[in-house]
Amino acid sequence: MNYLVRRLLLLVPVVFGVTVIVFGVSHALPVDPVVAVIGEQAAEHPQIVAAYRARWSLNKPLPEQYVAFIGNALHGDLGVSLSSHRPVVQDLRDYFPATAELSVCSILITIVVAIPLGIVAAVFRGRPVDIVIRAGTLTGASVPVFWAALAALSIFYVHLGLAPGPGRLDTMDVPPPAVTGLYTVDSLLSGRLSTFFDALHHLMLPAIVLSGVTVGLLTRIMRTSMLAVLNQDYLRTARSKGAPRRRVVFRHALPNAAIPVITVVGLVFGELLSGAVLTETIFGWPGIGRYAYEAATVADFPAILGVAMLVAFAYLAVNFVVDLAYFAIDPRTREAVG
Amino acid sequence: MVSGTGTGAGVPASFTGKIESLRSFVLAGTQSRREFLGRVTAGLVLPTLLQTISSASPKQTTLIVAMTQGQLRTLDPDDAYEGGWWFMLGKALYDQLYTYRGASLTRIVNNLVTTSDVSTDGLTYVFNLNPKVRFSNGAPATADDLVFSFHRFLNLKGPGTFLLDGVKSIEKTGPQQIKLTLQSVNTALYSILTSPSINIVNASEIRAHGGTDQADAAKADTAGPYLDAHSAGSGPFVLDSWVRRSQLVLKRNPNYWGTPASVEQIIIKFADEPSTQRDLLIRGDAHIAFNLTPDMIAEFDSNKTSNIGVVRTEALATAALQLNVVNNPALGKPANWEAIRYAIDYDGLRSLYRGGGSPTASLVPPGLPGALPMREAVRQDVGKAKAALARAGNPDGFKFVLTVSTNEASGGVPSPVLAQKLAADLAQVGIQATLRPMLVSQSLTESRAGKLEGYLHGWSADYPHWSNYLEPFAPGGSVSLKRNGWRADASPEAAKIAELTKQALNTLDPRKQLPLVQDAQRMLNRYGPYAWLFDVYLQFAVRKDIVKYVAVNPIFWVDFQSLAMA
Repeated sequence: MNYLVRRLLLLVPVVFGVTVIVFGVSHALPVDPVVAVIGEQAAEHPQIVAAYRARWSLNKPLPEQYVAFIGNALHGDLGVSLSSHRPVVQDLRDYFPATAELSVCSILITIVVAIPLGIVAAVFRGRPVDIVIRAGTLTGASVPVFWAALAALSIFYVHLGLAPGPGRLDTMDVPPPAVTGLYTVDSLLSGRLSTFFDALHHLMLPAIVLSGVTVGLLTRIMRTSMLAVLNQDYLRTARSKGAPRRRVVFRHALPNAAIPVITVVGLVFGELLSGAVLTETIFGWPGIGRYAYEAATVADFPAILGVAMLVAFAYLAVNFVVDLAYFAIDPRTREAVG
Repeated sequence: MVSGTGTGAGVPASFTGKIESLRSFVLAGTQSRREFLGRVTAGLVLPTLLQTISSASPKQTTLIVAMTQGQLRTLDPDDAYEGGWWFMLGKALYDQLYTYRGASLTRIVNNLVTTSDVSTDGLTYVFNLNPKVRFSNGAPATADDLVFSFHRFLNLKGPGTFLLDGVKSIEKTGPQQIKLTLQSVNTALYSILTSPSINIVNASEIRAHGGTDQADAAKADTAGPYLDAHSAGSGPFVLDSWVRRSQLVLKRNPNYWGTPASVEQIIIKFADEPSTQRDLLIRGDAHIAFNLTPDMIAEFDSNKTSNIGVVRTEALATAALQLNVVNNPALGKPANWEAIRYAIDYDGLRSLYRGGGSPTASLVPPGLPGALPMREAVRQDVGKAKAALARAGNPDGFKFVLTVSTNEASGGVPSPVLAQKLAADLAQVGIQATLRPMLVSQSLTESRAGKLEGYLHGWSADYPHWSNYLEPFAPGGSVSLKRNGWRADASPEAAKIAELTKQALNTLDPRKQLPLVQDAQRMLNRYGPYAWLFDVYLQFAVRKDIVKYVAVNPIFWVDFQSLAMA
């Protein structure tokens, strides 16, 4: 328990460090955010530029800006975005659930597909099924996501009409009342089943595309990890004592082989939560990745800092859950930390 | 007081009328018949031709538009100022004192105003508001609302505030009358008053939601969030909803005081990726796509049997190569500017922009009064370029850094591609342009600080008037001086251009004014540190089987009020 508390406390310096680095790097760029967001003519008017600088406190010294940012952040205020003119917290509240919903869907697909494939490939090492799985996953991991997204949309939406168009809902559908921001959850909470299925339908294609790479990666790691464990002496002993293969694989090998896989799942999920710019762009998905990209291109400092803090939290939270999973699966971890 | 220039509203009733008004507009710009025909075939009348297409299917009442959300950040009519995005929506949701109808930008017509007067010194204007104007909630629009609108616009200090530079006061002089006083003559005032950043808003509704027109509005006004979700105007449409980065829905204003729109609902579906917009269009899930690539447009253009057509209009933007005259000694010599101008293969640029642009002879785009005719365009002449280099004392050429914005495009041509073409052209005469890529936000910052040598930044209209182009680019103007270090006293030629520009700005009579504008541009073409590369076009793809008539306009992009569906 002490270990977990220490991990939680570690959040504070990590998030603080992220803000220092992102704030420092952002302001080191030779970009004037005001010039970047107001028009050509307006930029020539000192009065308008001064009003903008005052509105975003850009006329104050950098340390003062940073202290004000941290002070406000502790009260849940991440400032106002220069490009959307809305509180960054509100922007994040709108866009992060879209990314989270897509990420959860994608990681579920990844886990459900990759782990069985990795196990099968390891158990039938060198046989045709292993070769097919390795070739398939290598292809999946090698295909650029943007290409896969374009191709998937063209085939399944335009030509076959099997998948819905871009966006989170059909054009004529109305978003459910926002509770969590996750359309699948909110539509169920409001009893709108048709919207639930519409949201789920829209999720499938981008989630499958996103999971293309992660399935490839995770399958190979699962296979490698399983192979390493299957060659251990204790499993050889179990097999020589006549233990059924299913028991050897699922009871004795899988829990030990799962440790590195869980680590990778955590990292992949953290990365998915930080947004997939290309997939979001192609599928018209209003997520955090596209928001972050656009904020970066116009030096929207409050938005950049807000996204950086959110992503840092997401990574740390996911890794915290991964740590808990270690504890649950591997007794040696519990013993190691006392 | 003498009568103002505003005229009665009037959309040409017939097809012939549209063609004739378009023809007179084009020819008014001192252009030849051949140029006129070229522009016509370039597509300005294609929207009208779509009118002839009929469909037996039931009439559609919802228009779906696919476009990027771009720079659209607010729908507060007194704060929004994002080029065509807001101009298109602002024209649909709100009313301006004056406006343009259809594709033409030569005839300013009355909108909110019935009559106006201007004093003989050109400093005092009186506008009489149409008593029929009603807000979408049914309340009458009065002079109080208009004065509130102007004051709130100015005091919010948003990015469009500069439009009313030089306005001394705005007062109510009657229940339906206001007086606007200027500090100095503004020849572009009527044109500026067409801007959808200067609207009439429902003062009581906005006040009720935290709005104020007082001097502290920039800090005290809290109506922005309300106006992002509700419109408070008198335009042909009302805002139904805006889910950022997803879609924006407009509904027909049931209390509209003018001719109601034929479309009941407009859904703007935000899709940043051109191929996504194309997919939506092909599937019929969008009826107009705004942001396709030149390749996609060319594909639709070439397939005449397709039910997808292309409409074009000038963007009123000029793609330009700008040179800072102080950061590189070689670029301080006017003869080297001339060498660069003559070295560029302007015809070769066509293969890059294809339908996304057309050649231009001047900074002021061909569609505006004051533009130079194409016969005066600078053309590639390697011999003249080399001679100019020799005159400058650089017979073997010289080197300079050409900054290029990696995330910017003109007429669909990515700036890096354009820069590579220019560098190849310049290399033919010995000028070595070293490309320096950076984000547009960075290049804008550095160019505005006067830190660059050469760079590709175009210029587009805030309002369709020659002064919006010539004034900043004349020697000593905001662009020439701050970004490029070109002073009005740099040379006798520079002083002459500055003088011609000043004279034109102080001349109210268009017959005397436009020759001055053209003379200034002729000299700018010969003696300025600029090369005008091409006139940028906007290209939209339209489902011809769904959209029966669409008027596209460089300022408002699409006029939703006049749009008709099959």
